[in-house]
Amino acid sequence: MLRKLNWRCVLFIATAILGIIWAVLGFGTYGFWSEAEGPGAGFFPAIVGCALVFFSVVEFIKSIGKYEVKFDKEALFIVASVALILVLNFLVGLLLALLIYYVIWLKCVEKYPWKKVILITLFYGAIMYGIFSAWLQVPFPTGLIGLI
Amino acid sequence: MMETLQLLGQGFVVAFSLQNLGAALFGGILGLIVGAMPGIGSLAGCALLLPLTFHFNPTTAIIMLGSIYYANMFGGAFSAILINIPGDAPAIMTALDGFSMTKKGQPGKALFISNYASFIGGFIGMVILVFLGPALASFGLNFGPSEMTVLMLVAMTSISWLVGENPISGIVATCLGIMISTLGIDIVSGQIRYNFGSIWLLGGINFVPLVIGFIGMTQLFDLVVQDRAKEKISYVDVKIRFRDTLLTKDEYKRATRPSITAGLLGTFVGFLPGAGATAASFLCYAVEKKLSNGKTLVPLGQGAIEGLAASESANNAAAAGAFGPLLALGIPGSGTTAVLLGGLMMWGLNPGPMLFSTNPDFAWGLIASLFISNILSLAISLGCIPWLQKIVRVPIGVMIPSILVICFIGAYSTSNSMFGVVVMLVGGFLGYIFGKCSLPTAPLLLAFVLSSTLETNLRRAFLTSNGNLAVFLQRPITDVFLVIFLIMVLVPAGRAIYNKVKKN
Repeated sequence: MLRKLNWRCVLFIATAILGIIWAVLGFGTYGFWSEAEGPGAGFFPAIVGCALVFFSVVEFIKSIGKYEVKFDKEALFIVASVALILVLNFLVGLLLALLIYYVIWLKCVEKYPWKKVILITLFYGAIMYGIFSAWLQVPFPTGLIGLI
Repeated sequence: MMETLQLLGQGFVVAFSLQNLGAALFGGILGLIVGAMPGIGSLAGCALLLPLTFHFNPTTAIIMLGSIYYANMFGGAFSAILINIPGDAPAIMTALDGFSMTKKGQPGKALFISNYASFIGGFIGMVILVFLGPALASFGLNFGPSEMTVLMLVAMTSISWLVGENPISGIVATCLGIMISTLGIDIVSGQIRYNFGSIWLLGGINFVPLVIGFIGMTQLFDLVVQDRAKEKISYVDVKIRFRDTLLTKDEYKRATRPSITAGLLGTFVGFLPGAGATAASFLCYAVEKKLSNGKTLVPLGQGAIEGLAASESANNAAAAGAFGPLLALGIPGSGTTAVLLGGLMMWGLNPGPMLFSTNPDFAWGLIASLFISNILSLAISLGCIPWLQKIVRVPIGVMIPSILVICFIGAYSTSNSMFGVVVMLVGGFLGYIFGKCSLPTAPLLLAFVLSSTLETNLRRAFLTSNGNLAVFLQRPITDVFLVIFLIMVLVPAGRAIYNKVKKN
């Protein structure tokens, strides 16, 4: 049985658990129905939670042994990119972090020549800075470097 | 009729203000650029560009967003015609004849026909919208809480029904979307719910980072695994001069009739909740195939002007038609219009039957700006064919970091907080996992947007009827909607059972 389980089955187990949490909190903690005020804050989420449990179980049963879900190893590039940006954001702030990431991606992953990397980064960086920071005045985090 | 035209005239006064005209032009250019980039599409395009509109007043913001959405439809044809990668699902049929024309050495003509047909289809859609939109809103004024509840159910179910072969997956996604929207404060009682002790969840989940994650970031995962060999197709290297794009009298004639037919049909498909531009372009292409059976110079699918015109006209007509149910009833017909609805709600506007009477400046200003966007998009796309041709050639290697950077900046700038970035990242990774497990994300986003309207009306209906379920059966409108709802739920179930029996 366990061998027939795939990632899709795991996903529907997770959604069923979420449905149970929503239903339990909806029926109990937040109030399903009161005689005086009618439907409470938990009324709608509890119903939806129950529906989610039911349909998740149906899909879980349908998915057993039928789907083969494969994750692409290239997706790790995106995961690594996100991790890199978050770390750099903590150190040098968001805008600078994004520019450094841009350079690293073009140079290390795409293997572009330095001239092209610098030109593309400057062009793109100027657009991003011009629109969001200079024009729309978004106060981007400055990271540890901003505290100095 | 005179009153409608007068209101439209007032809408043009609003749309022709310098700021709104500038917003429409800027949105048009951005929409065309993003739409022309292969693999992004109107949904991701609108999601990624939504944060740009936050710093304007609601009318200007939605005019810009409407312009982005509309120009995206124009731009989507570029990558479909030049490199056979539809920028969006509605452009799939465009690629059939458009790319065939490119292979025959007529990319300029194919692009001209696509823009010409898009303009005609869009114009027809807008004219019908002007007259049917307010009529739909007046009809909607008769709706009480019970009618609105069932209508929202129909709207949510319709998109689940149309996504893929497995409607139950769509229902699971719908439930998840509703559950995400219940995080934070209950809008009816003001009670805090499902925040799990976190102060970040007190205000609920912001729609923009969520949609950027689920759509924009998920797109990255698709791009990173995309076959780079397709980028090296030589057809796009052909230099297109303006005179190569001009049509002969006969070619105009061959493009005009299908554009008008598909424009009319596409608009009505666009009016149906859950149908949208994709269904319109597929349906109109099929109808054109029947209508022009044996009468075209080349068969449809092999570079026929008629097929290209029908597909492009239909998707723009449907894009305009989709504004009808969106503005008049608050029902988005597709994922992209769900993004527009989310944007409208963020500016405190509640699309629905009251919109035309409470915010006429906004409603008519938006409709008028669609006419302007149609003209602007046509002018920009015809005048900039050589430049847009270059945008199609932006390498995937540059698009990937660019989109990720936009995702981060967009998610941050909506709330000026890293929580927006966290929501975007969670949405992005979930979107990727959902995609891998064949769980559609469009119903989730649609449900997220419609959930508060559904919950408020459902609770009001129960409150006024003391919890009597019969409240949903006592009025003819609810009965009709219930029948539609039951058909939408039961038909796929019946089809699944039939297929299983047939298989066995």
